Amino acid sequence: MKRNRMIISVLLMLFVFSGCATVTTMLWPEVEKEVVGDETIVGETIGHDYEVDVKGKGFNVKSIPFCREKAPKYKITKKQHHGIVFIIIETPVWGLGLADWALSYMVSENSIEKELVEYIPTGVKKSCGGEISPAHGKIMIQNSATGEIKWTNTDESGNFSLVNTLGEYKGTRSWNLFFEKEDNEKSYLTTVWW
Amino acid sequence: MKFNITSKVLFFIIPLLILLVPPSDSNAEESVKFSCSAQIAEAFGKDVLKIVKEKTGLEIDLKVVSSGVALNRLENGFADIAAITEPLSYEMLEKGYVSIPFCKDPMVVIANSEVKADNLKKSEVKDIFSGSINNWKNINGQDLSVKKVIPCEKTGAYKNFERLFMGMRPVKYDFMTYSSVTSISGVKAMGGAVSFISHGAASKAEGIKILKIDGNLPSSDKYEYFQTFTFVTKGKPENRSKEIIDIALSDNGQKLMQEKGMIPILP
Repeated sequence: MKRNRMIISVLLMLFVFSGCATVTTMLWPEVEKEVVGDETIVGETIGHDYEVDVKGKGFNVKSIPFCREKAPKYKITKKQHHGIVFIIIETPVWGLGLADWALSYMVSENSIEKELVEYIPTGVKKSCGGEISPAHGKIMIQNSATGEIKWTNTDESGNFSLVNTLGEYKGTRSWNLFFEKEDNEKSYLTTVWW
Repeated sequence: MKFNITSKVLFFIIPLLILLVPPSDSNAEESVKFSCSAQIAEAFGKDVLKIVKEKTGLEIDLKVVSSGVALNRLENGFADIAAITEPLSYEMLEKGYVSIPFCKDPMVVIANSEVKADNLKKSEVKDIFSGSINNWKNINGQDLSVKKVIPCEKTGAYKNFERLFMGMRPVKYDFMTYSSVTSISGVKAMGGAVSFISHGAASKAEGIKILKIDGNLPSSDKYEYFQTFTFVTKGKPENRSKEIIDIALSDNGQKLMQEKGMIPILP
């Protein structure tokens, strides 16, 4: 008798709990968070990258415009899952816990509101235009060990040679090559042994 | 042992439910790993990294260590770029490491601000750090014992000081600090303490004084004791490392160096 009463009480309690996770999820206030999306766009042009190719006995400089890659930052509001304890209790007896879980999940997913806040830089640069060979540009040549600086210039096709500045090739010293941009800032090109 | 049906069902259902809980959103940003000598970080590096962050949005994982450790980290793949205060060896250059010197900074001798002596001859610096002079009264100061605080042997500051001031004589000390910058705190805390460090790191510190060497302050044209700060990468610098180098060599970077009393190596 006493056992039956206990079983009835437990079953009644479980019945009462049915759907509680869904209801709790529905009633709970929405939470807000900011996330950065996976999709990216190519932003504004922010400068030029400079590369150098070996061309015969000399070098050729190429200027490649690059843009800032950006990713969208969203403000997301949604109702979060609640009532996991109810689901655990319901599941063994009724099996309805899973339905409750699925329903509360749907409630949560349907409540999602996504609003684009802004595009933020990802820290990645993307090339975004055709390359050109800068004519009559200044090449700074720096000795890797001492820091000593020498200069040379590119011709109208962006070509330059180190022979006039460093003499014939010996391959015994390491030199860093930089391209001097119009605003006098330097862009690292490469390091060569000469 | 007896399991009832409820326990068995729970045993399977609970892990299932845990697996079904959606993972939290994450968006790990890519970053550049930068191992920097303590002297450079203190004098210059942290401000440059702010500019890099502003200009590029690039996250920088800065690790402040000694120059020797910064090179080890680069060699073992724990850093993309290192900034060190000593010249890179020819052997490392031949191995394919790239060395880009970017500024010179005076190596200065600092003392606790209570010390009355203002000027030391180079030979006196040598005598202090080799243990021949142990009281400031022997070098135009008050009767106060000299406490020598030095950074550990792995630091660029130690190696440069040994090279610039000590010749073949071994450096003796009362206190050794892990990083070169910590020696500033040591000098500040102890009356009579003396040490050495880059001018950039010492110039804004309080509670210490920078001593003239042979009558010259580090700002003088006649000052002779300099360290060269160098970027190092394993192979040619690419993308993010290249951006740090370009920004350090930019007008903004050079202006920062000059503000800190350092001398940009570029014209």
